[in-house]
Amino acid sequence: MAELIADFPIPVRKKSPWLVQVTVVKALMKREMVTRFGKYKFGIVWMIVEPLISTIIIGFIIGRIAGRTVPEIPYPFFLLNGRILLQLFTGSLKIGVNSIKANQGLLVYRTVCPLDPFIARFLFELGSTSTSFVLFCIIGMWMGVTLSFGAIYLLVFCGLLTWLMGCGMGLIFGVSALYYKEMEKVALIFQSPLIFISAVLVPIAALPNAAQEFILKNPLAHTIELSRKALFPFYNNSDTNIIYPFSCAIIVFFAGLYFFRVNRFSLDRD
Amino acid sequence: MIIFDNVTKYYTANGSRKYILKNVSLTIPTGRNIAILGPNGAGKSTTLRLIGGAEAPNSGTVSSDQMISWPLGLASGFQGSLTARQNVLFVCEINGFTKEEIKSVMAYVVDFSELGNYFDVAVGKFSSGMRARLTFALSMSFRFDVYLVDELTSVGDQIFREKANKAFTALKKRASLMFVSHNLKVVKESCDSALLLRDGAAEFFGDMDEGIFEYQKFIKEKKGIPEDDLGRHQEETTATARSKESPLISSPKGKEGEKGKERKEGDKNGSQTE
Repeated sequence: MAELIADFPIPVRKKSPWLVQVTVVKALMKREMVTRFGKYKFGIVWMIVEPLISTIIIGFIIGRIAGRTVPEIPYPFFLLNGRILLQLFTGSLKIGVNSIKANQGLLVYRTVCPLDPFIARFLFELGSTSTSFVLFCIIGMWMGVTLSFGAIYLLVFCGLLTWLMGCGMGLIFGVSALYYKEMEKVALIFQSPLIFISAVLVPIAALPNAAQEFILKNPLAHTIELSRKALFPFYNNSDTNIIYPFSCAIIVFFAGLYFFRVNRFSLDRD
Repeated sequence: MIIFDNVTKYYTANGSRKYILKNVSLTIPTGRNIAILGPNGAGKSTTLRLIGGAEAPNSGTVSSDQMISWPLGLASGFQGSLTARQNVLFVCEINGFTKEEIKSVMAYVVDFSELGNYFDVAVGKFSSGMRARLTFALSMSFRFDVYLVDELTSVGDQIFREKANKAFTALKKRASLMFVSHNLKVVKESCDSALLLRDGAAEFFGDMDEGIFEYQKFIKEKKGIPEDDLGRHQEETTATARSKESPLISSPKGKEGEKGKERKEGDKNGSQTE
């Protein structure tokens, strides 16, 4: 029979809050990895294969026509670039909406703060999506696509802004879903047309003027177009600029954090 | 010592606030086993969660100089899709254990929980008894000063309950318990003080009997509590009083004198069941 109480019991050490948070976020990210990919064989391979297959399908269907509008970039790469940037946004949004419910149980542990699961999942999303992006760049270069890394900082910046907007929206939708369950559905509806109005399929320059004006109101279109400009210096990025998505990202992200902070008492109920 | 400093906690239901604690300032001494008493919905579990740091009060602070466990209940923080092993690993990691420490915790939990092959099965497939065993085993491998137990031992079979009770007795040397249970008999056997929750106020009683007396008085006064529920509580307490001599399942007694004898009896029972 087992001993009744462990004779080696490990004292639970008190540590600085910052160190505790780093440890917790690390553990949560590891857990996320296991839950997300652990159940499949070759789990991590799916991270790359999934967007690749859907891109090939979409590219095959509309690539022959839409591809003519972007002579500067091989169309599959154009599409992949847009999709992955958009994935940074929608992925974080989706995660934010589900995160509260999925992780409420964890809050029983003293070291886990309500925001930690969000941080871990958002970082995980950023990490996995960027990894797949890097892999696609390598595959692309291997297949003969010429990429320019002169403005890599612009690419990184665009990616981060897109991600921050996703985190902000995820927090806003996630918290409001606590009060109105419908917000989960609204979030789904909200993100479904994004692929059409974020310059993922067709460059802004190829659209009629009226449509250009409309689409330029979407900050995601700016970051997606600029990220292409970063990799392909000859790409025509129309009237996109970085200031607009930057201010949008800051506003949305901090609004999300504020919204979360204000409603923190409603978060820890089962 | 656990200090409540002007703590207010409420939930909003249908637009109106329901106060669990209203401006409560209180000092709860540790080093003794405390039962949290109160009718359904009085906020016993919530109070435990406040003490365990699983929830934050709406205003005021709850502080302590002791290491306090997380609330050990059935709604424990296990991820259903992960195996017991992965869950234990996670809890160790968020507490910043080293590799060797995790190894020894794991060995202990495997042994104590007696889950066998189920240790590598997703926790979502566990019965409530198995969950309780896992939660209990895991918490016993941590050195806490105060263990918060929320109806954990009410599930599970006789063997588990006996084991849990014995562990609690052994634990008394180095730690104390805070206990939520609707079973007054169990509470009376294992606790020596009481914390009574009523209408947003909390009151500490150093003497268990006094706490139970006040609790029952409160229930009698309160309307809307079904008559039979009240009757059962009384029955249980009187039953305990009568059966003081009978060797029930082994259980820690509050009184110092009977402690040694009780434990011996408990050990005998334990070895019989083996």
